[in-house]
Amino acid sequence: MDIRGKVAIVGVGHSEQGTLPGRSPEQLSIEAIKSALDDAKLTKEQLDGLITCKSVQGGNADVQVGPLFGLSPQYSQTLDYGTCNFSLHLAVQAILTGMAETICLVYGANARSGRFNFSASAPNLAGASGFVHIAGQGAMALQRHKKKFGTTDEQFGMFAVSEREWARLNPLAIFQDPLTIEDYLAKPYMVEPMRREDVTMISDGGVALIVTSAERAKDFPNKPIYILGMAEQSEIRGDYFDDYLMRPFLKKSGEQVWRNTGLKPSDIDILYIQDPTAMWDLQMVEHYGFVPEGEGGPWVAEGHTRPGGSLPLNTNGGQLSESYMWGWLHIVEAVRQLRGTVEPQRQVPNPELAMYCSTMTFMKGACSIIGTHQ
Amino acid sequence: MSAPRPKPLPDVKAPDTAGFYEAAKRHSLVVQKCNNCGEMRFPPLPICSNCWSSDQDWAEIEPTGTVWSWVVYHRALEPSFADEIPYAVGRVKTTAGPTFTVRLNIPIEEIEIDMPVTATFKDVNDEVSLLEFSKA
Ligand SMILES: [Zn+2]
Repeated sequence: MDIRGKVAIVGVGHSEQGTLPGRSPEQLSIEAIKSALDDAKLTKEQLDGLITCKSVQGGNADVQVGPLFGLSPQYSQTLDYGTCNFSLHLAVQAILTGMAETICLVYGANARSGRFNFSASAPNLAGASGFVHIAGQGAMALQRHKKKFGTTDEQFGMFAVSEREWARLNPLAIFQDPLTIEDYLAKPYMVEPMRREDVTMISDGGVALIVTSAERAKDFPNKPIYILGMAEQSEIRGDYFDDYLMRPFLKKSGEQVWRNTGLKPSDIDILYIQDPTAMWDLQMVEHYGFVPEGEGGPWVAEGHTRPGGSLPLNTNGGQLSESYMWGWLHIVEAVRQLRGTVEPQRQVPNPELAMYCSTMTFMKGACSIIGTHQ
Repeated sequence: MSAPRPKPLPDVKAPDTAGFYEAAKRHSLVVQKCNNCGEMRFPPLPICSNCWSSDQDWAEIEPTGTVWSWVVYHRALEPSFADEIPYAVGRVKTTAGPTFTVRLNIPIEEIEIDMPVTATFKDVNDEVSLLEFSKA
């Protein structure tokens, strides 16, 4: 089935970001929904679908958000893993099959003020060996990449540096201090070969999108941003082969989306990658075909992803420098860039196509291509 | 000074992993082996993921392997390890096949990807011996 241009994003919104004690994930979800409804000039009564995304620390199921939402839409669902891509794909399927016509997608989390322990050690051999936190797995993959392809710290650090350059143009971004490659290299390792700057900081907040059919989208005040392609690939079997930390299964998600859309990586004007660590950026620019495998290091060092570069990456500052919303703010930024409505200092000139790639740890991958024309 | 925070230990009594830790106490490296199709794996599973047989045993393997990759913790992300910083963790591919992600008992400046290593065991207490890998 060709899904190209049949569903559009017509509203985006979010709560404040940062440390927001005393507000539950569900309350932050409602704040985000209100913001997205305001953006779309819609009332909650006009929604007939709600897809919530469970919080990284638990909570935020549809039946938990529902009592605060105050209405029971025809269609409601919850996905257990975030990143917005999986939720967006489910919404497209629901709209194209007639289950609902106008759906709100929402994420809310208070992992920061709730002191969610990202370093919790499992009661197994790896945990007892001190192999904790996603930085451990990211660093393990990076070390292997360095050995296999000759990637250097000077090259890899450009992901964190370029995201900080973008963040400094974004008032919402939490990290605003300047970060040059020299500053980066002077920082200590956290989990060698990865530094603190290569790893996300957890935060509180909510994010929401309003998605509807292309026919209805024309009635909304904002320029519709159409879903042009989407693909997923699972690796739910998990850690069963030697190279699983390198996540080669993501190549299949890329092959699907390029085949289904007839597009190629060089057609994409702006790229978004969900980045709990900068290693995810390196893996996905390679696996999705933006650069050949092994050449991501020299490529990013050439400055392509920076403001003014040939392929702006995470123009919001990404999870490394903007806020940790499990990737949800990436697609909000992509929509605003395509509408042409971000602050002028970071507006990419006349973008028509954006791509957003995300993963759920080492077990699932997804991507979406969105654009200004059907 | 408060008492030092206890370090996390594996659950050595859990039914599916107890055999591994019993062997570790004897400083023997074992993995789960399917008696139907011969697949070897670690961590263990209640059934074989290849053929779905539940007929399986622990099998001793050669205590040798190579370093697939490695990292060094310079910050105690689990606070109880603060007194061991910096420490190295490696993903080791054993000669028999299964991989283990455990401590490398090797000077950090000598660790390299693909270096040969051999299994050793650190006796933590009467019940727990932890697998590590040392220079072959
Ligand atoms: Zn079997």
